[in-house]
Amino acid sequence: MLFPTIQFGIFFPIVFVGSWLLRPRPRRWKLFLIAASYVFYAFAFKGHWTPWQGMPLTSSLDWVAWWRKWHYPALFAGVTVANQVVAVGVAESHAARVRKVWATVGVVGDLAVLGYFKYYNFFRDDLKLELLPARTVIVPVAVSFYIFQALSYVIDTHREELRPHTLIDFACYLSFFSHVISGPIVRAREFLPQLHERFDPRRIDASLAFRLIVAGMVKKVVVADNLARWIVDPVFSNPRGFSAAENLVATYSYAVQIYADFSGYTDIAIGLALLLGIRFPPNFDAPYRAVSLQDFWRRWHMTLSRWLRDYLYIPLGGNRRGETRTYVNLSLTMLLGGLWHGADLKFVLWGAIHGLGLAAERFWHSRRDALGFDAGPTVWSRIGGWFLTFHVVCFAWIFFRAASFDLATQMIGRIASGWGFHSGLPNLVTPGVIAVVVAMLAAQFVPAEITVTGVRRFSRLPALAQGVTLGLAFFAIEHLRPKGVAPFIYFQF
Amino acid sequence: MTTTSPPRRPTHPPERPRRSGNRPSSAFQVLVAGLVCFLVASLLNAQHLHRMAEDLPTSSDVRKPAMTVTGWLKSLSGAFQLTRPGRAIDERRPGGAGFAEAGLDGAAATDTTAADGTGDTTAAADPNATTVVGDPNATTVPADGTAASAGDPTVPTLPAGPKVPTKADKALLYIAGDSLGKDLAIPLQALSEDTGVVRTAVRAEVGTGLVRPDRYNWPAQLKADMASLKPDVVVVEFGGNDTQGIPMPGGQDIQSVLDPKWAVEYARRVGATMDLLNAENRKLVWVGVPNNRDDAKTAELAVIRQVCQNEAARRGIAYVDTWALFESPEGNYADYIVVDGDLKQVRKTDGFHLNTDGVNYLARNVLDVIIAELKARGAAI
Repeated sequence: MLFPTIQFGIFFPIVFVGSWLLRPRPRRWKLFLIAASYVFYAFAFKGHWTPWQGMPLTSSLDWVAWWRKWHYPALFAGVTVANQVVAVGVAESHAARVRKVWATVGVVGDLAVLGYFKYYNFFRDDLKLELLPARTVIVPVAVSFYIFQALSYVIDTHREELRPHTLIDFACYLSFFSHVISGPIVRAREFLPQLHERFDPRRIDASLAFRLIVAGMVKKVVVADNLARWIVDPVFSNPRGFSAAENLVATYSYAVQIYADFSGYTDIAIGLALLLGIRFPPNFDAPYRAVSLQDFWRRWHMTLSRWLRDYLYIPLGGNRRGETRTYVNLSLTMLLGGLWHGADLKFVLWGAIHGLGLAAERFWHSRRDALGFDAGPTVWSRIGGWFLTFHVVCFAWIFFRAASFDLATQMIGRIASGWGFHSGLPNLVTPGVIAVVVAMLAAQFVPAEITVTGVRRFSRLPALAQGVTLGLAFFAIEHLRPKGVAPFIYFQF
Repeated sequence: MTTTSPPRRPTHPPERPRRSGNRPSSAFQVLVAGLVCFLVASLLNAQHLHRMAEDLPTSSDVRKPAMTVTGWLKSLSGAFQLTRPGRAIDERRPGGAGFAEAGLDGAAATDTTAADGTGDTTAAADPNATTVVGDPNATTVPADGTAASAGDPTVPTLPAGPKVPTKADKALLYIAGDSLGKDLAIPLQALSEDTGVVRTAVRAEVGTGLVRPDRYNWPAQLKADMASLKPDVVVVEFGGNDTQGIPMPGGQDIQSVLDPKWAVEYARRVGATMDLLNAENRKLVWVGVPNNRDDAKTAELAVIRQVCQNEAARRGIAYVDTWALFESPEGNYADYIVVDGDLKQVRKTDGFHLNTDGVNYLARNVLDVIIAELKARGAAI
């Protein structure tokens, strides 16, 4: 089930009403949220899934079909129960060694699940490990996200930063529908205490939630989906068929598309959670205004960045083991971050570009004084930093988006040498494309106070006027979007 | 299983949200705002909603009730002139082609020019669509989707004799189809352009086919593209979405693909499309459908395969039998087949579409047919 669909438009009001009616009874409320989240998750596999299909009550029971339909929700439930057992095992063991064994079992088990689903085909087909049987392994939607959250639960418990909650609490945290598919990657210690708060149903920050939902919809279905159609998909599918300018603008357009797509999803997710009285951490903070790669990663997919920092970079030693080791740790963290997206050379390269870039930045900062460069930030150094950062990020996006490494190199080659090339076909670099790309980049520099003031004014309107305003916004979105709803890019990860 | 009770004081409470200064709302107010939003948006978008209901597969259980409800909405909206703003936007926004009401309310035909209004064109409809080039001034076709005959006077007459493609004067390869066609286009574009004598144009529309011209009018679009682009070689792949009932004039819909009348009507449409594309010195390559992991779906796809094979054979049109290329040695569905001596996974996880290795393999087979045609025209490849 996708957010911008009619199915979700029916699903959410039911959950909203049910959730607020049941909230005074916490146990029922949480069970209700778990049930709703599993329905949402099951829909994520098949948009046309209907609850009665393949259920044991049907007259002609097909167990194979039933299992095919339900084995991923079943896997999700299994991962939930297993991690709860491990976390309780860690918490209730007094001996450090036993705690470590429990935690190791949990981490290895989670990584095994993730590894099997994400990398089986890679090992079987690309690395030619033919001992593995030839089979189709379908990557369950959201497996990366829920495994990461489960890992944080187990590791935080082992670090004594968290006490395990009940299985119902944990299941509610892991499956909560608004973040289960593509994040934000919320930590257990951020989410679980909220299940025990008494939330006043008369104090919902609805205006902020509405702004996030509408902004997310605009980003996703107007900006991202249109850019994909207008220029990104055709050029990335056949870079040699287009001029250097088209390839270059397609690269910028993809940078905007993936930002609009992913941040649009998380805006909607955060807004929906807010309507249910649950607060999520922010996931994006105008990443294309970053003046360095380090700055970029503080603004892009912030919840993944901090996850990688806390559960990978710091355990690897972070910057505590000398300069060389710091560079290695940075590169390794980003490389593994790239591999998290998929077992493919292009993702490795994407991660390597960021890892080496971060290491180079750190090296430069540690040496620039000695080399006689003024360390103080100037307007020009900030502009230069922004320009360089944006282009390194865009360059890396080429590998991320291209269907293969070959197509990525074709695109780079075309940008480098295709300025005299004319396909003889209409130019895809249209004023419309340029306007959207420039507007989205310019929007990154708009002071937050402007939107804050707008939302505050909106919050003063009566509910009726708010509804009419929102209805007009959805009317405009509907008429500016292309037909159909493309899946969010991050669904595949 | 034993569980510990939740701690009374969380060790790391979440950061309290800063006071935003926004006036809070009650759940009831949110519900009212949501309801009003829903009503306003539904009435203003009634026409789109009705079109979305119509676009559902004819076999869908929810199509009829959805059409009834959205029909009421549309009538109500129309009575208060609330469809006018949307219609005005659609008419002025060329990129909104997918929802142009062509053939429904007698409005303008599908327009696929870019949103900036420059006349550049993009693929209509689905965001997954691959961009096409050219100037598809879509023309009205009969409601049943029948393609115009090859001798239609609106299709310009080309000079006699096929073009000899050279590096200076390349042949135009036009690739069209549904999601299968879209996937095939990626490697086929690269492989064919590697010959040095081919340039390419693609029109792909996910979730379309030949049985639902009300959803996407391929005959009209193909006719327009043939007229504007004048391709030398045409590769099409349809059928994956055609396993559904065919809406017929007068409500005499043919619901089951296994009904013999379905095959007759489908053959008529396929034949007309072939006649349109395999004319005016164009070489048509028809790429067939593969089988499906689901046996019931495979039985329906077998009808499509048979019809297309027959119609292609009747006209001497090249038919690439995807089904045969990707089935197991026993003739069943296969995720893995032997390609160049290696056992390779060739299907996506949905049990139907081809993955990268699969489309690469298919593209090489299609390319063989294209190269044979280009060589026959005298191209130095």
